Amino acid sequence: MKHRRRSLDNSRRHFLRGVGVALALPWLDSLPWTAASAEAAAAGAQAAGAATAGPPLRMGIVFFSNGVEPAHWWAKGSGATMELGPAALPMLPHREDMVFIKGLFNQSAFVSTSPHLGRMNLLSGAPISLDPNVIRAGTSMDQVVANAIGDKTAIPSLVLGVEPNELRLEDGLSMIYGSSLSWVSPSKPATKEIYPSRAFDRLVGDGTGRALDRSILDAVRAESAGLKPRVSRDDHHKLDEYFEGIRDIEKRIERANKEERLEGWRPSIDKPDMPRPKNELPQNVPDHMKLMLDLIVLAFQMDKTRVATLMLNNDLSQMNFKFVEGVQGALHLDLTHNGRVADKEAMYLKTNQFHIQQFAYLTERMKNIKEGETSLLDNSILLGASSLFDGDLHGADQVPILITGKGGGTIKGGRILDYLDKGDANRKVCSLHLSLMDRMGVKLDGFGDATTRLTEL
Amino acid sequence: MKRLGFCALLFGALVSVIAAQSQPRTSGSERAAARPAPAIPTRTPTRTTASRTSVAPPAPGVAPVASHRLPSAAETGAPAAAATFEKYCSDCHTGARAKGNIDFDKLTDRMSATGVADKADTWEDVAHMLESRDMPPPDDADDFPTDAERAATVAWIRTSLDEYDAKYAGDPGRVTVRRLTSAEYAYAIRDLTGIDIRTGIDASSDSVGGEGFANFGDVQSVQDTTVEHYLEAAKQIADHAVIGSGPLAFYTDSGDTGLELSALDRIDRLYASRGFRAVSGEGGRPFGQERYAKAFYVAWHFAHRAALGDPAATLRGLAAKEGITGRFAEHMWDVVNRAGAGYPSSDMIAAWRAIPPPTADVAASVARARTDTDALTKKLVVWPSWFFARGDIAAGGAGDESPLVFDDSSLTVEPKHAYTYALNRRFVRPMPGQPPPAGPQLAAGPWTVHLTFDTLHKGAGTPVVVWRNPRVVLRTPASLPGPFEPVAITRARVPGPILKTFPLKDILPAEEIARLRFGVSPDGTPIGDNDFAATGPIKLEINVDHEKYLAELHTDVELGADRDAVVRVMINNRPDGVARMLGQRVFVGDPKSEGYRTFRAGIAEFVALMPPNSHGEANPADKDPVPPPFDNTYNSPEHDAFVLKVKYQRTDDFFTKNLVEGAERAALEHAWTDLLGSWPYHDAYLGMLLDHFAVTDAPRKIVEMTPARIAALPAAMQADVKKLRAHYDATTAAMTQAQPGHVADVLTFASRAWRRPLTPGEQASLRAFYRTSRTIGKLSHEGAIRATLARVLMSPAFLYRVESAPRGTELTLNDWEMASRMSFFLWSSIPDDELRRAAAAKELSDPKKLAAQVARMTADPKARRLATEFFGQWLGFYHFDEYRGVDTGRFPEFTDAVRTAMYDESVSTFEYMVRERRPVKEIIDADYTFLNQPLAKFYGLDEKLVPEDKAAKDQVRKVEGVSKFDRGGALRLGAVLTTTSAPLRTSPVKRGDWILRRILSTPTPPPPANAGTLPADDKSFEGQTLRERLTAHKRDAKCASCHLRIDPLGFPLEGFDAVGRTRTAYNDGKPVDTTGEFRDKTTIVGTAGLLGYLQKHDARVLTTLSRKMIGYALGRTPQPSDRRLIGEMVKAGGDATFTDLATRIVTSRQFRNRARGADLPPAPAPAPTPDTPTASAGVENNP
Repeated sequence: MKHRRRSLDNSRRHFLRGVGVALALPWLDSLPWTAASAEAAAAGAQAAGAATAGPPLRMGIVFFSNGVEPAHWWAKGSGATMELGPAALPMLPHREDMVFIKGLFNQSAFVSTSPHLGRMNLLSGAPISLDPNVIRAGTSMDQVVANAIGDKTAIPSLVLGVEPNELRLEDGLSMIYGSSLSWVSPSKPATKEIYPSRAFDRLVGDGTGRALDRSILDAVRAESAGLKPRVSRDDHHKLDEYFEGIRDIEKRIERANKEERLEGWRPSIDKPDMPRPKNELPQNVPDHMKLMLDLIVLAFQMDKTRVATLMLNNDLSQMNFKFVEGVQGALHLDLTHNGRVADKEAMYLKTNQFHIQQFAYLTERMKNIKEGETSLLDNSILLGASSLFDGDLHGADQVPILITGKGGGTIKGGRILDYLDKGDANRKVCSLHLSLMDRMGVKLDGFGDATTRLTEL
Repeated sequence: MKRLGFCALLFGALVSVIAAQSQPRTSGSERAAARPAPAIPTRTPTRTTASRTSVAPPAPGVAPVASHRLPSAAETGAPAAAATFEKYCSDCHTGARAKGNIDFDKLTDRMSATGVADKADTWEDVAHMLESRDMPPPDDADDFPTDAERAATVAWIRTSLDEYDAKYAGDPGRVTVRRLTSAEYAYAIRDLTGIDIRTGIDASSDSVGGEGFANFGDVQSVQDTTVEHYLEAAKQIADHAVIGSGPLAFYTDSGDTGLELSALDRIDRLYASRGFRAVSGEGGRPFGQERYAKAFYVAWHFAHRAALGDPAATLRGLAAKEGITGRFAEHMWDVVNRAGAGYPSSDMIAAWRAIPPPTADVAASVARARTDTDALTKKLVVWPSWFFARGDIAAGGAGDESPLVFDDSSLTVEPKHAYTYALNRRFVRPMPGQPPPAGPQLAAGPWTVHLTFDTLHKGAGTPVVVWRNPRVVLRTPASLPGPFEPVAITRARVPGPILKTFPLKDILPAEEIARLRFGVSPDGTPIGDNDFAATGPIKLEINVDHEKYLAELHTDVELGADRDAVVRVMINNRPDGVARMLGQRVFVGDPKSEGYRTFRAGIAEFVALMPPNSHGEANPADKDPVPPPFDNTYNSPEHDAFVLKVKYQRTDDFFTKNLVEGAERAALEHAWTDLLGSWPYHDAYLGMLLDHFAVTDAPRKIVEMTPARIAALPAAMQADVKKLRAHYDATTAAMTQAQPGHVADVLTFASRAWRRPLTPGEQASLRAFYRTSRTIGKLSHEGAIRATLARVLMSPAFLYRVESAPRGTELTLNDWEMASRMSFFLWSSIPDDELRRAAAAKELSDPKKLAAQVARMTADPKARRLATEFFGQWLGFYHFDEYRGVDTGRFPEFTDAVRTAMYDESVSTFEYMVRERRPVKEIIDADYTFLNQPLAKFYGLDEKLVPEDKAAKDQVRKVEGVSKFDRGGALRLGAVLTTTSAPLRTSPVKRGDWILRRILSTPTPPPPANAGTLPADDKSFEGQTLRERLTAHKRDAKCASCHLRIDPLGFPLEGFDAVGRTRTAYNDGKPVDTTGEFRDKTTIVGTAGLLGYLQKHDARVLTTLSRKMIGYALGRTPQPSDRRLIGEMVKAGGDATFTDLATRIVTSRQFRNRARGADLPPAPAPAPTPDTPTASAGVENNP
């Protein structure tokens, strides 16, 4: 009996949320305030009983599949004179806001016998389950953060993609790995939204006028008690996922109905500054990606969420890159595995550049949005990365990583951090995650295979 | 001793229970470690329950502990067998370099029955090798096992497997509750509502696991976003509910529009299925007149039932046989037996009575009666057209624009009519911007003119018609507009000024004048010198210089002495033809006469008894009449306003009274109530009335029309408003009355959606939800019903395939759970009515009844979903209609239409195999496929192979004998060949892997990450062939071991290009080599070779099919305890049908039972709840 109660009350989410609240807010002491925001902060502080308030820190993660061509992926120098390899060239205007990180790797990805799906643990560091009956990829870093700070915003996190989930097995493993970057629990992928209109609706829906939804959800949730004694424990656990989803929505509706904010800080806009996207999926990929990136900016700007991930494409992507001039063929088979044929390699480079260009666009847009005397980018951490390094060889000895944004004054741009020769213990992707989570207000002793922070970041 | 043992066991059991209860929630890693082998195994100590609680097969790695009984034969034999392996096999078969992937170090690790069963395939290979003496190899060792050692070891393997089977075969295994896949969701909604609704529940909520299917509970997950999607979908579906005065239904349009359009649709359907129409305006087509003939026949048959040897016949029985309603048959029986009917009904009744009674030759009599009733129907149908001189299609004309109306204005008679008949005028309207038509504008003479009349009603004497002052008038033809003059030509403009007038008498030849007897009337009516009287038709021929003049015949016509006569008079150029021009046809009679009143009554009687149309359209065309008091003139402002604002008119008295009854009649009333109640019809009508009577100071809302306010209105409109208000009240009342029924309907809906009867508690809770939605939620009835529907669709009982499993025992599924398992297996959806009936009747525990249901279900059209879902996911053409893996720049012929056709080809092929009970071996080597013409063309086949069908030209059709074109069966499907290619070239590796994995279920491991790659484009092969490229690759030893197995199965398919077309040469002209060479240098060539190879390994193919079917049906991976079932399915052979195999599964223990839940290891492990916050994420991610 006691056993049961514990499992109900002491849920993982509950716990993490507790952690989040207790954490120091790193951006508080490092940012200058405008008079207006100070006023708002004061008002908010009075309401919430906190000391001061300012723009919160946001984290955006952009994933591109199939890695890069190593010969094209390099950076030299620093600051305004940093030089970039051809694949990273679109970042040139932002080099002073960027940290180019070399040499990080994921041990469990590196040793996996599954060349693609076994490497789709970029954000968790946990081994991908090779047992076809057990889906397991580890909770991803963005979702750990969302669990901790998600209750501060209308939506805990925004999980976006461009390509739909693939419904097949690859080498006997579910393509859910290839289609999912974010995992809310070790065994549960976050539902990825690929429809811009739906994502938009989530951002804009304010929870008012959802009385009907609440009554339906309440009634359904009441079924939970009746089900429990009738079904097996496994099934009950599975069904509980559903009820937990309901509870999450109900909480969100409640939060949205409450006007006050803990910090008393007001976002720079309170209504979307873009039209609602059409119901259909955009016909061409660049439009689709741009919309998704714009939605991330909108979400951050309206402070609807502080954590967002976007998969520009799935692993083993079928995306046909004919929309990039001079490119013909599909990303995975035609262009990545190009057989080292020159013209195909050139096309592969263009896809690399195209991916980086999307990241540059996001950086650029956020840089141009003011939040008081700072920019949205200043109050953000943007991470651009892939699960592979050399896409053709499924290389996992290191992964390409770019960071932009000042992280609320905690990250200095214009640098190259090279960990390749610093020893395996000191070059873990999960160390980076620990470092980034620190900044997002989630301080953990360990994450994935790491227990130490990344030095120098 | 025995007692002591029992106590010890009991103690052990207690300890384990305590251990289980006190075991703290452990972290993921500890759990994972604990899962395979519980520290203290739980035994079941009591004898009475031992048989029921047969232990589930332990998860891999769990060795059954057998401390309390004698060791089994397998256990006894294990050490000896282990020694044999150690002695003779371990040299080659151990460690990382174990030959043939058989590692006895690992195999002999677990020599329990379970351990052997887990690796049954390998162990059977071992047994086979020992028996056949293939192993150990003769040249390799100096020490060989003795015959006895061989026999003992083989016996040990077999005994172990038998022991395992005896204990575990058919174990249900652990099946995690399954959520509906997006496809199942869509099918279930379709089956629940009868309509397709695009809900937005799409594949983004699915994932694939187990045997490669999305219906595998373990890999499904849900979170708030998914729930939001479900909520949106549920509300969207509920929006499609039709909530009116009838039972709850669904319609393709949602909301109020849905109510309105569904009502219109229901009305139209009833009209179409029961009604008829002979004449119609504005392009309406006649239909259903044969129902008259059938009714006449029924009446005849009934009248002569005794003579026809059918004395027991009833009108209703005969009507049912003829496919008309009983009500209609009764009505027509009354009509033909009517006494004293007036004209024209009397003519019809007489004609029916003239049908000869049956003679001894019954068949001939019946045939004759059929002919006569058809002729009578024709007469009936044609009469109104004749009467009004129209050109209706049913009467053989080209159609009449204006609707047929019997009313005061269309039946007006005049005592006298002045005719102006144009003799040679042609109405030529030049098109704007076009030159006037060439040729004479006036028709050349001589012109024949018929002056005719028909008697519609006769008075005392012979009707006489007087033609007064007939004369020919000549005018100058008006000039036609110039080619670029705007066309505004009117009839008034055409005639020029009158030049001359000639009395007819002056220009007719003498003999004609004599024949017409000018100035003399046969009935003594006074007439002038230029007049003549007629008792019948008159024919005239008149000629004038047609190029100079426009000629007209002017004459007045009036009745002779018999003032009771009513005649139809026409001036026309045909003796009997239609006279559609304005004023050519008139009814002449005295409106005040008794004769006219009789005539009117006769027409009214006819229209009531045998109308040409059973109903007017619910949504009238703009030429249709509007009701009084409104202006009925076509295109008048009031007419148009009525058509626009009021939209609907009910003119189906005959239909309602004489064609439908009972449930149909009720449905018709519901539909009309819904149609007029779905929008402010009554307000619109009221507004029209107020405007017509220019009332400005009255309320424009019907609800505000109280009796007092009605009394204040102009007297002329009071009756109409009263009627309207009464209708409004009736409509509202009908809607309100239906409300409790809707709540009950929602409960029925819930029971279908939840696939079982509702418990009283659930019923109460749904009713309470409806009530609170209305009271607290302040929703309308409609809103509350929609909310309740959405709530039903949000229940886990709908979204999940919940099966009850009280903890602790294996449980036989109840009938409802069986029905659900069956329907989701075979239809990917909820049970239908028949399955529900069988479940309610508790038939689904009887294997015979189960088999009958499976046979029924696999023959049903819904079994196509098996082709889509099961075969599609198994063979890899799932969602191929959205496949994007082809480079259409390289293959422009691979159009969307081709892709769709390929997808249809695949689905239709397997649908056919399943539904038509084809042997399953045809999955591989069918001699037929399904093509449409574009696909046949794409494949390079003669398009004529596919019979042309204009109506459905995109439809694929079965084409036989295609193996000679290298088509047919799974391997040669365009969709399969395309998905197993790279975008720019074929991939023998992918194709070989596909065969190994999907057909032979002997997958190879994934390639090492750093395996080299081949150029993605065969244009980049630099002169080498794909084979040469692969051969080079195979020189690498770590690649060779797999490629030696994969490639020989892929190369035989090189005769197909990357988009599935047959070919004999590569792009560069080099011939295609379709040889596959195995490790032992044996070869197979082309598809024929490959098919032969697969035939040789058909047991393997059948094993794969069985495994896939079990995995799909049960939602779990096959386990060792399924070996026996798989064995039976394989033994059924390639001639078995899908239905045979499905029946075996459905009647199997594993399908009909559910494993006990409690002492199975929980997996996947729930999210851990660590005690110390800081450890959490790290531990979670370090299992």
